[in-house]
Formats: sequence, structure tokens, C-alpha cells
Amino acid sequence: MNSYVLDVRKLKVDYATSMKTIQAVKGISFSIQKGETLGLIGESGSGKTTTAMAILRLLQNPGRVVGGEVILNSDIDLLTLSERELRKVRWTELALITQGSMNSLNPTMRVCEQIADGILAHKEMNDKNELNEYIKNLLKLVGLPERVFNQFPHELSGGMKQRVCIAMAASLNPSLLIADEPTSALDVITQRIVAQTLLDIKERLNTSLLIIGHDIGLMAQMADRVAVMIDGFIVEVGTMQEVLSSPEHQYTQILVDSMPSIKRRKPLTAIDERTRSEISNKLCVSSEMTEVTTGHWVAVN
Amino acid sequence: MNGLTWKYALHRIGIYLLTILISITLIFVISRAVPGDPIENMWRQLEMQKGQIEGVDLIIDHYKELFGLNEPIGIQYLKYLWNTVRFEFGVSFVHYPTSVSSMIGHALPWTLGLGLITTLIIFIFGNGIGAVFGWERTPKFIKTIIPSSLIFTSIPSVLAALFLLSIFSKNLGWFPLAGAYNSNVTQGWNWPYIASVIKYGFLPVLSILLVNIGWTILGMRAMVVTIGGADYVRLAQAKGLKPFYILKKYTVRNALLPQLTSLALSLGGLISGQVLVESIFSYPGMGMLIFRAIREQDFNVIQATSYMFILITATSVLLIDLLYPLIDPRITHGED
Amino acid sequence: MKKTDFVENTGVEVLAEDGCKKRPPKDNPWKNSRLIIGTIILGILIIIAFVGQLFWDKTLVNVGSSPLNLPPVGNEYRDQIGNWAHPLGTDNSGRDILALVLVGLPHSLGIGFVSATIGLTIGIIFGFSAGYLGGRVDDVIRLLSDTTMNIPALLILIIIQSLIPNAGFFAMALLLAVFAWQSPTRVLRAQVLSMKHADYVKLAQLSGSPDQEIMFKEMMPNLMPFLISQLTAGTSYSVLILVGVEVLGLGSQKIPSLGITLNNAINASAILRGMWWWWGIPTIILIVVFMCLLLITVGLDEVSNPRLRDH
Repeated sequence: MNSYVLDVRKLKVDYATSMKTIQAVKGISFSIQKGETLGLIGESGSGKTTTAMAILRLLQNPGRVVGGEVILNSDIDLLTLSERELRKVRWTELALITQGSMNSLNPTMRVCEQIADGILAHKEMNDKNELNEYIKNLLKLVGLPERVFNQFPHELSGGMKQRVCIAMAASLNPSLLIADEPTSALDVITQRIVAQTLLDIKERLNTSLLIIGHDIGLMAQMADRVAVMIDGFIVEVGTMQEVLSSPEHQYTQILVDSMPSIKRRKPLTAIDERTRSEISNKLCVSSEMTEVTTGHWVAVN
Repeated sequence: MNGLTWKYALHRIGIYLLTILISITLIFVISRAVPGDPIENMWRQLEMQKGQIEGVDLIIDHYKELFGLNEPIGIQYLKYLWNTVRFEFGVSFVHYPTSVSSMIGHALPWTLGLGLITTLIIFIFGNGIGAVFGWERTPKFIKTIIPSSLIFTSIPSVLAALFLLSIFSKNLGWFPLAGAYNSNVTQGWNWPYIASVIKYGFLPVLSILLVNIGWTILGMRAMVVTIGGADYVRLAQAKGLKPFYILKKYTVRNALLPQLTSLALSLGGLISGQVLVESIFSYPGMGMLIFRAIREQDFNVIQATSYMFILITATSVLLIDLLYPLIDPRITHGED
Repeated sequence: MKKTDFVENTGVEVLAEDGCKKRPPKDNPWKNSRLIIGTIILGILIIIAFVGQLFWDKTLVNVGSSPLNLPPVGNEYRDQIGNWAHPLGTDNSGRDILALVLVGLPHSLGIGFVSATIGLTIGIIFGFSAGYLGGRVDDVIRLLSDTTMNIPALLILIIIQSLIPNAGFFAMALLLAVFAWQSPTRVLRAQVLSMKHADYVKLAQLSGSPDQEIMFKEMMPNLMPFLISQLTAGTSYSVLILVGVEVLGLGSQKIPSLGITLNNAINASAILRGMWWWWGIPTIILIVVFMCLLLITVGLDEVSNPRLRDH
């Protein structure tokens, strides 16, 4: 087999309260190869952000991983690392670009400090000038003017903030970037700029990218392969091309159908609650997947 | 760009000056609203109690001259305003001819010292303890103490003072019963004197502290819990930063501004508490001055000292307001 | 952090929806242990005071009505043994402590309650107008509360009381109310501002209800526990100032009260003389009262704001 940057096997996440346990992720598996961009797509509540947080081990109470493995670089199981080991892996191997850039920067720290602390946590850098130059270079790389270096987050626009986040995530050249809806809070023009920046950085660093989102149109332009999630299950995995051109699963078909097209105006179909629970119930019986063509997997039910 | 903006500073200073003006006006109106001439009444009453006092009429005339009591009410008001802003409060009735400002001058350092130290301890330790209580990594058994801090918050400091004085000074004899320093020690920058000041000030500080620190602790705890769920804290974790560093630079740093706001709001209560606590411990500050003046019916002193307390409160609030932008860069154009 | 952010980031909305559906009906927010304990203890104290007044001789609050310096039952102080004629002892001028407590407690609480009610009423009017009407009205009300809320009430009252020593019940309550409206105004304004944008209020506006009707019919029920908690917090605040003024030796000397009893005790050096019951009993009763008011306030806050629960 190829060497995977990330290999997720039968990951299960529960949110357990005293009253009820909710299974948010129900044993999903997928993998990302070196240099590849995988899109994880699904509507809100489908468990895609939970999956990302579980990989990063950043689940908040009452969320808990209850089963599975997350193998990084074919040798480390992230889920078994001690806290100290985990801290070492974070940012050097595994970096996060969060959803909603509005809130992901510390409002009381300058941009330079926020990029610097991540670097300094993992790397000895005694020469302050060298560090500053390095950070300025990073900012240039994502297309930000130099003045941003000394600014506070509230002085930046949403798109600029998101680019700061990208620069921050790229600062230690990680083997995998996880971008959780990196463009969702932005307007359409800014979305494209941010998405392009993200792709540029990814190419330049030659890293892998896990991108999470619900906008299948945007995803189609960014990801090499796609995994479709509904209700804690993955129902279809394959290259973007294949999944878009010949969606096999009922849910994927609905999803692909919802993509806007200029050529012909389509009625605004939406998935109704009954269809969704039917799909979900079937998956609960068995979520086994079969390979329809090479690398194109679909849930049997 | 960031830091203090003129608009913000002027707005705050405007509110400050208005507060002072309203207070002075209020005091003026109150003292003039009483039937008869309060000063003359007071002297006549004193005369009745203590028998003939030398040169009463002269004193009253001097007084009426100073505050323009024979002139129309508008002029009286302006003169009053002018005298107050230059700290010209006239003389004490009871300790004639000591000027009220010199009495306040002697008491002011003690009050400011006591207040400043108490406030600093409350802010630093209260927020420190609150942060520990709110931190997700703090062991559960430490967090079980939290409800007890709630109980303390409801006891007024004057009542706490009575208990502390009774237990630690009267029954156990660990601390002195009254005063601010050991009068057998020469005053100045020497250790025995400083040690005695600390020993004498311990219980007064503790009385105000015990009660008010609870609010700070609970407030900080709530803030830390809330901010602990913020995106930027999660991103900080993803960066592999050390947990304590995150607590310090990400969580607490952002919780401090709301905490500073609530400190500004609680200053009035803190200072009122101090007036009473000073009275209980016979601490030679302005609170004690008020207490004694009330007993002696020295109205001039009551009025001037109360005004000074109001001035101190308003000034402290202003200082805190002007501090905001240094702590939180976002407060530059905001009104709230 | 806004709730929606939290929900989007963690996917907990699944949990919230389900949690709500499955919430058992017995989960009544009013069954708050703090609220219940506070109310019961405070209620017992008030009932004891009122019933006690019927059975206990109220004239014992007068100077010289009892023997001097008598300790409580079962104690001995300077050759005097406490007896049931004066179960809580007497002070140095022959006032019965039990009678002082029975008469003084409802009096102090009453003044505090009335002033808090007046303050809250002003606060509701000002807070609603400022939040709902905005503009000029908002500016003026905010300026008024911003400038006056930093003036410590205790000190203004000291000045007033030193000139007008014998203010009666309602005069006193009115004086205290002057300093009791700022906090409710501020808090209510903020509440109204946040509710103004709530969907159900917008819906009412769209359906053409006049402004005042929306304000009171739609918003009031939601604010109810919140308003009561403002009332108990205000009562506590007013009683605190009242006690403070009295401890300093001001306040009407005609009506006995706990604060004045404390002032007498301090002036007579009761602590140094070891007459603990003289200052200790009023102090403990006041502490219990303040604790109850706090428990009720905190409990009501939890009722009105579900997010404060389970912490």
C-alpha cells in the first residue's frame, strides 16, 4: 500500500450526557496520501467537524472518542499518545485552520506574537530578528502586507484574518493541514482568494490537506478526492471527478444535484426529513462499503 | 490606531467631571434645603451643650464671609463650588481652629494606603484563584471549595470586621485592638515601624478582603470557563502550546477586561465598606474621621470627608477606565 | 462566545436538540435548591419576627425597661446569670436584645424592600425606554446613570442623615431608592437590547402590535424571574447601606433597628467588655439575612438563565 499521511480506521465519537448518549461519528474510515487534498463534505450536524476535532484530539466535553485508530505518517496512533507526545506532534505534523476566522485569533495578542508562540513552542529560535524575518516571510507568502505583523486581529478584515490563520498553520511545515470550513464566514470573492491562498501554500509546502466543508461547488475546485458524510457515516469516497460525474449513493446524488449550474436552471430540491432518516436507518443496519471502480467506494445500503 | 483614543478619553473624563459636579451640587442642595442656617444652628447647639464659646459670632461671620452666605443663592453656589474644587472646606467646628483640609490631609494617606492595598490584593489574588477554579485542569477536589466562596460574599465587611476584631484581637490577642501603627516605634522607613503598620492593618484589610474577593473569584471563574471554549483557545491547543501558557496568555488575558469593569463597578461598595471598617478598628483614616465627626456633630468635617470619598471613588473609576485600552486593544472606539 | 459559535464548532446542536426533547417533565427550573433554601430561611425569620412581636413585650426596646448588661440564658456575665425574662440578654442601658431584634429586623428589611421596589420600578421604566426607544432617550438615561452610579450611596446618605437625623420609614426608603435604580436600569437596558432582536419580538412587531404592547406582553413574562432577582439584590443592597449608615450612628433613633444596636454596642466598647451577645446576635441575624437574599438572587438568576445551571 501507499504511505498514508493520515489513516483513519473505524473512528467512533460519542457525546455522552447523563441523560443520553449521542453517537456523532459512527465508525468511519478514510485515508489521505502524501500531497493529496481530501474533501470531507456533509451538512451541518453530519459529524464532519467532530471528526476533525477527534483527529486533532481537541474534542470538548462531553465529546469522547470511543473507538478506532488515527494513524499519522503510517506509524503513530494519535489516539494513544500521551499529552506530552501529543503536544510535540501538534503544529509540527498536524496543523489546524479553524472555521469562522472571526474568533480563532486571540484578540489581545498581536499577529506576530500569535504566530511566534506556535513556532517557539516547538523550535529553539534565539535570534529574534531571524524569527521576525521568518514570520514576515510567512505573511508575504499568504499575500498579506507587512504592516499586519504588528497589528491586532480586530484591525484586520475577515479574509485577512483567515490568511493569518493559514500563515500560522503553515509556519512549521506540517505534513497535514486540517482546514475546517476555512471559507464559510467569508463573502464569495474573499472565499476564492482565501481558497486560492490555501491551495498555493499547500502546493508550496507539498503537504496534504484535509478540507472540511458543505459547499460542494467550492470543494469541487479544491479537493482531489472527496468523502461524503451523513449522520456520522461516510457513504461515498472517490476522486472528485468520479463522484461528481457518477454519484452512486442516493445521498450523494441529491448532494450533487444541488450544485448550481448555469446551463440549466434546476428546481430547488432539498432533502426532506423522511428520506434522511430512511438513509440513516439503513446505514445503522450496515455501513459496509463496496468498491464500484478502483478507489471509488460506496456504502452498500 | 490602538491604545487610548482622544474620543474615548474625553468621553470618560467628561463623565468624571459631571459626576463630581453632580456630587458637589447634591451636597450643596442638601445643606441648603435644611430649614435655618445649618452652620449657625450647629454652633448654637454646641454652645448649648458646652456652654459659652469664645468668639462664636466672629467665627460665624468668618464662615459666612468665606462661603458667601449673605449673598444670593447663585453666588453662594459658585463660591461653594470654587471652594470645594480647591479643597477649601473651612474649619472644624469642634476642633476649632484646625482646618478641615489639614484633618483630611492627616487621614488621607492611611485611607488611600489601606484602600489601594486591599484593592490590589483582591484583584490579583481574586483573579488568580478564580482562574485556578475555572481552569479545566484543576483537580476536582480543589473545585469543591468553590461554593464556600459564595457564602463569604454575602457578609458585609463591617460585620466581618466585628467578628475578626472580637476573635483575633480581643479573645486571642494576636492583633492590636485599634490604631494604624505602634506609637512606641519611631515613624519612618524603618522595619519595626513598617512591621507594625502591617500588623495593625492586617485585620482591616482582611475584613474588606474576605467579603469582596469572593465576587472577583466567582467572576473570574465564570469568565475562564466561558473563554475556555473559545475558538482561539482551541487553536492555541492545536498549536501544541503548554496548558499554563494558554491559561495565562489566552484565557486570563482576555478575561481581565470584564473583570476590570466589574472592579470599577464595585469600587463604590469597597469604599463604603472601608469607611465602616476603619470606624470599627479606629483606623486613623477618613472613615474614622467621619465616624468621629458624626458623633461630635462636626458637620463641616462630615461633608468634606464624604466629598473626598466620592472624589476618590470617581477618580479611581476614571483611572480604571483609562487603563482599559492598555489591557484590551479592542476598546478604542467602543462606548460600552 | 456566542452560543451559535459553540454549536457550529462542536456539532453539539445534535445534543441540544435531543436533550431538549428528552428532558423529563420533572425538570422544573423553579425547583432550584438555592432559591428554595434562601426563601425558606428568610421566610422563617420574617414569620418569627412578626409572630414574636405579638407575644413579646415591644416596650422592652426602651432604655431602662430591663436590667442592665444581662447575658443570654445560660450565660454568666459579671455576677449576673441570664434568665428567661430576657432570653437574648440586655444592653448597657437596659434594652432587651430579643425585643430589639423582633422590632428591628422587619423594620430594616421593610425599608430595604420598599426602596428596592421603588428603585426597580424606576429601573424598569428607564431601562425599557432606553433599550427600546434608543436615541436621545437612551443617551440621557445612560448619562444620568453613568454619572450617578459611581457616587457611593453611603456617603451621600451620611450627609443627608447628619442634617435630617430623624427620617421616617418612607423618607428613608425614598432616600435609598435614589441609589437603587441605576443597576436595574443598566441591566434591564442590556436585556431589552438583546431581546429586541429576538425572533418572537420581531414577529410581534411584524404582525402590527403597538410598541408598548410588545414591550409588556411579550417581554415581561420572560423577564419575570430576572426582575424578582433584581428586587432581592436591590433589597440586599439597600439594607446594606441602611445598616452602614446606622452603624456610623445616623438614622432615626426613635425606631430601634439592628444597625443602631450595633452602633450602640460599638460606642460602648461591647467587644472589649466581652458582651458578645450585644453585637454578635444582631450581626449573625444580619449575616443570615444577607446570605438568604444572595441565595435567592443567585437561584433566581439560574432560573432565568439556564446556562448558569449545572456549573
